[in-house]
Formats: sequence, structure tokens, C-alpha cells
Amino acid sequence: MRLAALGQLLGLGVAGADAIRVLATGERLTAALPFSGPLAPGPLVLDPLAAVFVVALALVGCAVALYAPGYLARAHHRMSATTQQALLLVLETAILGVLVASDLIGFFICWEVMTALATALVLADGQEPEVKRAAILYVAITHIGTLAALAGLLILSGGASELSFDGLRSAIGHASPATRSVGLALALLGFGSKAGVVPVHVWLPEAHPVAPSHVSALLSGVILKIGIYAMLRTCLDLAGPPDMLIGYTLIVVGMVSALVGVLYALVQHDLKRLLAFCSVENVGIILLGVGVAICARNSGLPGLGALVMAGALLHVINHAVFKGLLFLCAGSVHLATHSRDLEQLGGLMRPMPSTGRAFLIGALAISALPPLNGFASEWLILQGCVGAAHAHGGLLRAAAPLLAAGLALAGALAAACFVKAFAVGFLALPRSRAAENATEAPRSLRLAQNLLALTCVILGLGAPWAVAALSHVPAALGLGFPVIEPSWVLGGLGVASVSPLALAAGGLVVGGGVYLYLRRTPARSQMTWACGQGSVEGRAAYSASAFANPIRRIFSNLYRFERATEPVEGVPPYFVKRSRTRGALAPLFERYLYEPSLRFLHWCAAKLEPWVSPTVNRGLALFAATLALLLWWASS
Amino acid sequence: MQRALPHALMLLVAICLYVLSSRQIRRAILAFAVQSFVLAFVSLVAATRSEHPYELWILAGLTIVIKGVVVPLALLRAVSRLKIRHEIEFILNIPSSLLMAAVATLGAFQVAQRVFGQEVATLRGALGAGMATILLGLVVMLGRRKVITQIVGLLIMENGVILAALGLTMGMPLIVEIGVALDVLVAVQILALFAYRISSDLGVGDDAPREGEGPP
Amino acid sequence: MMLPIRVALTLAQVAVLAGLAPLLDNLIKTVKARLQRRHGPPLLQGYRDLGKLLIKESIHARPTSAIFRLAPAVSLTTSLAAAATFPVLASSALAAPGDVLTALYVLALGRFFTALAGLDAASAFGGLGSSRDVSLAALVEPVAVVAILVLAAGMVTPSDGAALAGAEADLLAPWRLLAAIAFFMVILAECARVPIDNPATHLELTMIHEAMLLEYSGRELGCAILAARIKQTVLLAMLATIFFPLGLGGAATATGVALALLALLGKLAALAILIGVVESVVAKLRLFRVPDFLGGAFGIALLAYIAREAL
Repeated sequence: MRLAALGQLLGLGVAGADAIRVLATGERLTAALPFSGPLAPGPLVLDPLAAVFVVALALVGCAVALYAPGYLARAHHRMSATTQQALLLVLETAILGVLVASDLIGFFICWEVMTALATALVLADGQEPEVKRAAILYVAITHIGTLAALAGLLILSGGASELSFDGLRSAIGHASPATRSVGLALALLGFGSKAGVVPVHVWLPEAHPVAPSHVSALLSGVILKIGIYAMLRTCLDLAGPPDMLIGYTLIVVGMVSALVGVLYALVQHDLKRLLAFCSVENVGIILLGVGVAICARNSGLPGLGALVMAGALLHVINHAVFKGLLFLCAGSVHLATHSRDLEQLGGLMRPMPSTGRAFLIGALAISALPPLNGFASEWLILQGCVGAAHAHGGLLRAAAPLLAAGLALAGALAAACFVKAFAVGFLALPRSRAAENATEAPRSLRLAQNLLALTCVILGLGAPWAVAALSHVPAALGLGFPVIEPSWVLGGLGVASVSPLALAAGGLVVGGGVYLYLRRTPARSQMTWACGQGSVEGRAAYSASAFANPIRRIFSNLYRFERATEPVEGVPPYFVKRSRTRGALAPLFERYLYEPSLRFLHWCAAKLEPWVSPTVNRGLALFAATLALLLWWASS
Repeated sequence: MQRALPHALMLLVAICLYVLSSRQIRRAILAFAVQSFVLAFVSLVAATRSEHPYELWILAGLTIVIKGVVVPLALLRAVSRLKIRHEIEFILNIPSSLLMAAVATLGAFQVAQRVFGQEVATLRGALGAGMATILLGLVVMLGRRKVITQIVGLLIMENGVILAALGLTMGMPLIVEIGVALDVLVAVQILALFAYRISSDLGVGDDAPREGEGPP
Repeated sequence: MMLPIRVALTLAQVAVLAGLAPLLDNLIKTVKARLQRRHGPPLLQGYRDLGKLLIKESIHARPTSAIFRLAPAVSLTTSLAAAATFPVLASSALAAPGDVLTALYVLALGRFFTALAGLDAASAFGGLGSSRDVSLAALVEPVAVVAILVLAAGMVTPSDGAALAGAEADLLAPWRLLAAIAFFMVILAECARVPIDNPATHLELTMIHEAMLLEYSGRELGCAILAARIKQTVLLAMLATIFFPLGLGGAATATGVALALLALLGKLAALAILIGVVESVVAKLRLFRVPDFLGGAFGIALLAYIAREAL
């Protein structure tokens, strides 16, 4: 088990170092495979675009490798710890494989291995129906997505026999506009299902919470990003210079995902589910940034485009880091209290100070607060939306205030969401016996958390240099994006500038001074005032649902809260002695998108039934006829 | 006077937003009256640039007299005599209708700029403001329940039509005719709506709460 | 300009804004009192109150954690940091590059900690305040961003504080007025002013900001109150310099700085009187009517953008 962890650390360390070298120089690395043949994958290529995602994988993967042994030793899952570690190792290899593949065969083989192993790991703990349901949902939706993506890429290739990325690139150059847009739409939809964009996100909040926490960190932090990687690879690299339509599509999809994700995250009280919904939001923000960058480039603002693209790519790494951190902390909380329900937690800052601090840093980072890393990337994307008011293109220019407002709304709601998550989970008094008896996580777990927390701080303060390095990515794509020079301020190139280092240094000096003055005399402590009713208790404090209530009411049009009251005792309707009220959000996407399409599918099946079902023979005859038809079509 | 034109145009659209966000029928009617005065001011500005200023003066006068004074007074009287609830009843709540309005306004200005171009429009921005006013009037009509509020929406739309016409073809004698004709039309429609729906909606317009409403 | 001079000017500007904060708040109170035919507090009462609080002992609620102790220092620091993001004395006088949007993020950091502290004492009042505060902040933020975007739309470096403050501008252009109105509504909401919150009462059903500070006492309370006052002054100064860049010189000459200071004082006093009048004539809104108010502000901000683009 230790060996597997060591292997992960070593492998990911080497991969991460390579990726950083690629990013720093902007040149690609190539390695030929030792075997060849007609269906063997092509050489392994690590170009700057893939390197970004390798860095994300390396950062989260190393923390997970440190975290997993200690966590698995205490969690007592159904699947043995050794098996899980082995699967994890193979999973990380498969992710690397997806990133360095240079042709469709290698790409899709690794892709499928990745999906299969991720599903296996989601199922590692427990045989409860909801875990199984989540796994099936995950497999079904991502498989349909993969199919769509494969079909899309094959359509794009226009029947060319060449399956390497280089071959695809030239084949797509010759494709007609109609083929190109159909293929692109299919590919983006397919890969989007893996990235969890709305409306194909429904599997995400089901599957991520039920997995073991370090696997959730990897799923949310890295595997979602692989979906984004595939989308970017398709629309920026393979399909050539992206047009306005792609930019607008990404903007709309990103904005909807960001807002839907954060609005649903706010009303969750399962900590890991909240984090999962928040991943939908962050994926949306990344795609929004990419869309704005594409549109800015196409409307004569390549400098702004490069900045925003670098910001979006930085957000890829940032989100991997802070979401990994938050999931690891949630795992420690789960270990300590056996609960993910925020309403059962509370007061954990006292028994678990280190985990609490790490979670606080993650919460500050994901709320895009300065000077942590989330601030740098979200600020750049916001600057992109503000700068879009300069664009020559009419629609982008007109939409600029709406984009900026939407992003600001998403950011502020995310902050509200994490005030709730941190305060209800870690502050005030414990709400249950389990929370009262919690103990701090063991040292290896804290080490992993602190490592990621430190990365959040470093990436935040060093954001200007990170952005300069990441600007090699769009520049290497040959789309006319300039390279950004490293400097000590973030921004420039047609946006305002800010220096995270100066902010942090000034803040530290002033804040430290104030804090020391406030602590100069020791303070007395007294019980919280409870309107003269003795002392407060944990259950009387504000709960997670109560905290989210104003937002739920303000956006009641979007939430569709449903409440049902049923009598428990007495004679309804007039002499009810006791009744139970149950409230829940209506599952809008399931109800209005998935169920109708399922019903349509069933309807089609019912219509086809008389043709197929009566005897096996008739079905086989149809099968044979189809086969013959296909053979005839292939030979002609 | 010329310099105040953009302010006046923005005021016209802003008044629509005010109507959308007000909860009192009286305030909506008063806002409409103010809007008519501003519209008259815009047509006076247009008159200074026109070859036939007299027609625009007539238009301004008609706007002030009919839509600035007579129609609002009639509506206010109707409100007090019909004894309907003085609060506006919403189908769309205020933030949603404001959001719709914001998007509609952006769209209206975009379309005005794209389809007709700046050089055609004689009063810069008046066409866009007019189209926005038309759309916002429509939002008022869509999102409110009571007939009186819907009439206010219709009148706002009609102000928008005149404004857009000013922006497109300033100084045509036709404008005056259209203005007057539309005014007459509106007056007739007011009467017709009253007559038609007085029994169906206003007839029960007492202060009693009905099903689906909050406490009075 | 030399770096030491710029650093000195930046510090001076932060000191001026921080020093004015209690006075400005007191001025609003005086205006309200005069409109009610009362005398109101003496002009320097704000300083006396804060001075008294800042030397007193703090008492902590027992369930609280380190966050509770940290929050006043963080919010005071963020208010001061926000004061350094745009120039008020001379347009080229910032030590580090400043950005107005960053000011919003920095202030959000302060709010994050204040909201956490509100929940930390396990009292339901604090939670109530925190929950309402962050919910309304979510609606305020977009309006503020759009209002700034309207100003920034013509700039080479949008939202850069120095560029915005140094811009030559038609001060009475309709878009500028509309954006200023929207931003003024933002300030009313951000600073817990009357249509949104009532700064004068501790009644639990109306309060938002005060509820979060309920468990604080002594110097920590003083610190938290000072932070809120400075934030109010900073936002008002932003409205005064960025939205109406009048009287601000480019280079930092002695006369230029003196003129800019005078202009700033005049504009801040006018805004304080305006707030006092608004607070006296407008009734406080119910909590769930506040989205209507902020929706209106958003509409006005968008209208400002349209006015800038189309007129």
C-alpha cells in the first residue's frame, strides 16, 4: 500500500516536472512507444495545453497519494485498501494517457479505462441503492456522451483513414461547414457530459458525494477537467481557429452552468454534495472564460483574449487544487464524525483546528477572495467580461454587462455558499454527539491538506508568473494569441492591473498590527446572550437550511421548492393531531429534460415492438438485413 | 435644449422601468403622465431641427394635453370610482420583469442600431429608445393583471411608437396624423376594454381577497 | 513620479479617508436630526464614541473560535486596503497598481469574515444577520460591477483606478448620471443604509449589519464599527472621484493635492447630506422587497450602459 502511494508520488512528480518544463518553455515533448502496428497508438506527445492538465493532476494526485493510505486504513470500505490503491494508480495512469495521447485510438482507450476505473472506485464503499444508482447514472450518461463525442470526431474527420490528431487536423480543414458544425456540436456535447456542464450534469452531484473522499477529490478536481481538456483540444486545436459561434456557445453554456451550479450548491446541506454542485459552477466559469477569450480574439482583442484564456487555464489548476483540498477536508470530517450532513456538524474548529484552517483557506480560495488563487483567475475572467465592452463585434459588446453581472453574481453566491459551509460545519457549537466527540485527522491526512492549502496561497501570490507561463498555451495553438511577459503585477494588456503580492504584504502588515493591538489585553469570556434563557445550544444556532433561506426565497422562481404535508396522527382533514411536512427542491432537469426523453424513447420502443418482438427469428432476420445493408454500403 | 436630448431619452426609458417596479396604480399613471411630458419635450427638440416645425409643435401640444393631462386624469378617476384594489397585481414579479425589461432594452437598441444604422436615424438614439419603450410597455401589459395597468402599458407602448417615429422620419406631416389617430385609437380602446371587461374583472374589483392572493 | 512620494501619497490618502470616516457618519446623523428638528450629536461625537470603545476591554462569547477574534482586524484591513485602490489626491499617486474591481473583491473578503463571525457565537441573531448580509451582497455585487463597467467602457485599461479618476469627462452625460445613481443605490445597500437596513436601531427584525456585530464588545466592537465607517467613506469617495472626476490633478503638486482634497471634502459632504435626506424621506423596505430595489438599480446600471453605447 505504501508502495502504491510512493509509486503515485514518483510518477506524478516526474510528470508534473515535465509539464512545468513544457509550460515554461512552450515547447512540446514527444516520446515514441516501443511497439507499433496498424492499431497501435501513436507516439506520446505532451504539448502546453495538455501540460496544464498534467500539472493539475500532479498537484491533486500527490496530495491524494499522501492522503489515501491513512484514510483507507480508517474508513473500512467494502473494497480492500490495497485494491483501491492499485485501481487509483491505474486510474491516474489512464488520465495521463488521455492527456498525452496523440491519436483517437490511444485517447479513447485511456478515456474508457478512466471511466471504468472511476466507476469502480465510486462503488468502493457500500452497496446502498443510491450508490449503485449514482454509479449507473454516471456510466450511462458519460457513455452516451463518449459515444456522441466519438461520432462527432469521426464526422469531423470526414471518413479519413488517418486517426492521429495531425491527420484529424488537416481532415477537418477540408470539411464542409455543415459537417464541421454538426461534428463539433456532437463532440462538445459528448465531452461536456464528462465535464459536468448543465444540462448533462445530473450524474455529478450523485456520483461525487458517494465516492471515498480522496476519489471525490480526484473526480471533481481532475477528471472533470479531462472533459474540459477534450473540449478545448477539439475546438481550439483539432477544429482549427474557433469561430464566434463556438465562443458564444461556450459563453452561454458556461454562464448557465455557473449560475445553476452555485444556486443548487447553496441549498444543499450534504457537505460533499454542496462541493459537487460547486464543481458544476467552476466548470462553468472556466468555459465562460474560454468563450470570452475566443470571442475577444475574433473581435480584434488578442491581448485580452490571451489574458482571459490564461485566466481560464489558471482556474483549471486552481479549481483542481482548492476543490481537492475541500474534498479532502470533507473526508477528514467524515472520518471524525461519520456524517456529511452539515446540520449534524458544527463547532469542529475546536477539535479539528488544522482541518478547519485548511478548509477555511479552501473556502476563501473558491470564493475568489484575495490574495488566494481563486481570486487571480476569477478576476482575470471578470476583467475579460469588462474588457469585452471594447469588442468590435456587436453581440459580445452588447452582452458584456450581462456577462460581468452574471459572473459577479455567481462569485458572490459562491461566497455565500462557503460562508455557510464553513460556518455551519466548523463554527459555533456542535449540533450532534458525533460532532462533539470528533477528533483531529491523523498526521498524514493533515499533511496532504496543508500541502494543498499552501499551494492555494502560493498560486495566489505567484499568479502573475503563473499567468505568464500559462499564456504559452494559447500562443502555442497558433491562433494569434500573444505571450504575456512575466511581471510582478497581474493584468496589463488592455485590462487594469493588480499586484497580489503588494495586497497581501500590505494587508499582513496592517492586519497584523490591528490584531496585535486588539489582543494586547486578555479578553474575558462569557456565554452568548440567549435572550435571558440561560445558555445557547448548538441546535438553536442558525442551521444550513435557514442560512440559505433568503436566497431560496429570492430565487424562488428558479428553485421550485415543493412542500407536502401529510397527517401522521388523527383524522384528516380536520382533526389532525400531528403531521409531517416534507420539503424538497423539484428535480427540474430530471423532470423536464430526462423524463420526457426517456418517455419518448419508450414510446419509440413501443412503436417498434410489433416489428421486433414476436419471435427471436424475426429479430434475427432484421439484424441480418441490417448487416447486409451495411456491408453493401461499405463495399460500394 | 439640444444637450438635454440624451437625458430626455434615457428618462423616457427609465420611467418605463419605474412603472415596472412600482406597486401602486396611481404612481404608474402619474409616471405615464410625466413620460408624456418628456415625450413632448423630445418632439420640441425635434422641431428645432425639422423643416416643418409647426407639425411637431402641434404634436407636442397634443401629447401634453391628451396624454399628459386628460388621459391620466381619466384613469385616476376611474381608479377611484371603480374602487378596485390600489395595489398592482403581478403575474411576473418585479425582479423578473425588470430583468426581462433590461434584456429587452438591450435588444431594442441593438436592433435599432443594426437594422437602421446611425445615419438613417435623424434623432440619435430616439429610434432605439422608442423601440425599447414599446417593448417595455409590452412587458407591463404581459406581467400585470388589472385592466388599468394594462391600459397604462398600452399607452406607454403608444408613446414608444411616437418616439420611434420621431427617430425615424422626423418632420413628416404623417406623424401628426398618426399621433392623433393613435390617440383616438387608444381612447377608443380604453373605452372598449372598460366596456368589455368591466364585468369580467373589474366587476369583482372589491377589496376582498380572492383565492391565490395574499392577505389584503 | 518617485516611488517614495507615491507611497507617501497613498498612505496620506488612506489616512484621510480613514480619518474622515467617523466625521462623515456623524454628518449624516446631524442631517437626519436637523430634518427632524433636533440638534443631533456634536460634530466630533463619532470620534469620541470610537475612542471610548477602542480602549475598552473586549468580552468574548464562549462558543467562539479564532475566527471571531480575527474578523474585526480583517474587516478593518480590507476597508483600508480598498481605500488604496483608486487615487483621490492626485491621479498618478498610487504606490501599487490599483483596480476598482479589486476593491470590491477586497471588501468581499471583509464581509466573508464578518459573516463568519456573526455565526460563530451560536446565537440565532448573528446567523440571521450573516445570512441576510451575504444574500443581499449577492444581488448588490452585479450592480456594482455593471456600474463600474459603464465607466470603464471607454478606457484603454478598464477599471484601473488611476485611469478612471484621471479621465477627461462630460460630467453631466446621461450615462454617467445613471451609473452614479445605480452606484449610489449600491452604497445604500452595502453600508446598511435606510431602505435596506436601519443603522439607528438594534431591533432584531430589521437589522442586518448590526446583528452580525451583536456579540462584539469593547475594542473589537470599535474596530468593527470603524471598519464599517471606513468602508462607507471609501465607497462614497469612489462615487465622488471615479464617477465625477472633478478637481483631481494629474501630477502631485502641493496646490493640486490641496485642490483635490477640497473637492473631495465638498463632494463627500454633499453625498452625506444626500444620504441623510434619503434616509429621512424613504421608508425602510421589507427584506423581501429589497430584491425589487436592487433589481431597479440593475436596470438603471444597464440603462447607463445602453446610454453610453447608443447615444
